[in-house]
Amino acid sequence: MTMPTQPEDDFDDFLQQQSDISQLYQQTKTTTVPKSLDKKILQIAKQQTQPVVKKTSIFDWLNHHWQAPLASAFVILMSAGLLIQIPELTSEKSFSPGNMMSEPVYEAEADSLKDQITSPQKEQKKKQDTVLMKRKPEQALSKAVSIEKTRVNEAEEIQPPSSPQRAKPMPSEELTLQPIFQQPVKSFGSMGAGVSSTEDHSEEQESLKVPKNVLQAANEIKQLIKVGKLKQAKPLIRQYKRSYPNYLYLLKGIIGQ
Amino acid sequence: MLDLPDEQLMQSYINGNTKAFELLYQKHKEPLHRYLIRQCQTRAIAEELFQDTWIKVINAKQRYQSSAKFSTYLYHIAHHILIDHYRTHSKNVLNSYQSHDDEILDKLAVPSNQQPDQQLIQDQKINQLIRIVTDLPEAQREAFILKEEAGLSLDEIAEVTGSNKQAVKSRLRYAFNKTRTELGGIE
Repeated sequence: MTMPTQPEDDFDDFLQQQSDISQLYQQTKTTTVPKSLDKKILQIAKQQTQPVVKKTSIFDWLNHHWQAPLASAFVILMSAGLLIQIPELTSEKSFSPGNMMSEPVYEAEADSLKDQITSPQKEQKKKQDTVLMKRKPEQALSKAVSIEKTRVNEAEEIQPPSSPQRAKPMPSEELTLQPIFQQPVKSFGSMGAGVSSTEDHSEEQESLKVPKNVLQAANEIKQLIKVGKLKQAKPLIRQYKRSYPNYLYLLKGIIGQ
Repeated sequence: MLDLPDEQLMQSYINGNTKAFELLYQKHKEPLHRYLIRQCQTRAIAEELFQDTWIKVINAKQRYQSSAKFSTYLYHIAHHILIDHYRTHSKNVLNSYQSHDDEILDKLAVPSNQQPDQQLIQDQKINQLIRIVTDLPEAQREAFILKEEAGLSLDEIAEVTGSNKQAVKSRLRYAFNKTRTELGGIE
């Protein structure tokens, strides 16, 4: 006598794939995958395992991956550099005369200027002044002022204190505002006119260095021009040019005046 | 390598061993193919979905975690591809599978001059089972096929279909009762 099978037991067998239904279903497993499909899928699987080797140059690498970061870094660096440099350039310390005088290069230049300032070669001095101006105008200004002060002091020592015709030396404040390299021609052109103390000093110094015969010739031409005798002055000027080519600046000063 | 579990074969394929994938494919291709045929009922569509499933397995291999059972992973992908197919195609189109059933029955059929009576009865049972399974509601049919074809447990079927264990058990019970009732009529 067999026990009747309970539905719950049958279902458990079904879950365990041991039921009649499961066994019958196994017989339906007849369909097959087409060979072409097998080949296609296996080929795709094979392709996916092969590493893709991509030839890229350094420029491509830079272009694609690092272009923007590099550009950003460059901009940031440049900006930082500018921010660091600007305060140094604009600070008063860097433009102070004392600071610049401490530099050996400009000290040497100042010494050479000091030596040449009393020489008759004014053209040379002007050239040097111009060079100095081009390099650093403010620095040149301070040096010129110091030289001018030295010259004024020297002049004071030379001239007698009781001379009524001589004007008083220019105060140092004025000197700082009127450096010689800014008006070099005027200084020489006004030789002998006695307009300012600075001009007198330079005339005096010129007279000390320039030979007497040259000064006489120059004064003669000057007097003629002053009186208005230009016809008489012309041959003298020509003769002066021929005789004293090194002292043409005196003539230029007279004619310019 | 034949003795290796599916998960190690998949890991081996991830590491570049194509042979491991071939073994995996040979092992799972027929059950998966039948699952898709039973579900979408048209051979051409089933083959298309079959190919899509394997391509997705191949392309997403880096995301595979060896802690997951490979068959669960495979049918999970197939299930989602099937759902996407249902969404993009009209259900009516998918239900037009009568011709495919005939095709299967033709394949299963043995020439009449070779049929003993017992074989005839068995074939009738098989055809009946296929029709019963085909007529099951989709969720129950899927649970039935995943159990019978892929040999998945209740938990695994729940994971593949995105439902819970009780719901899967309920679907399977319904499928079992209906199949047994209808097959009993033949006996």
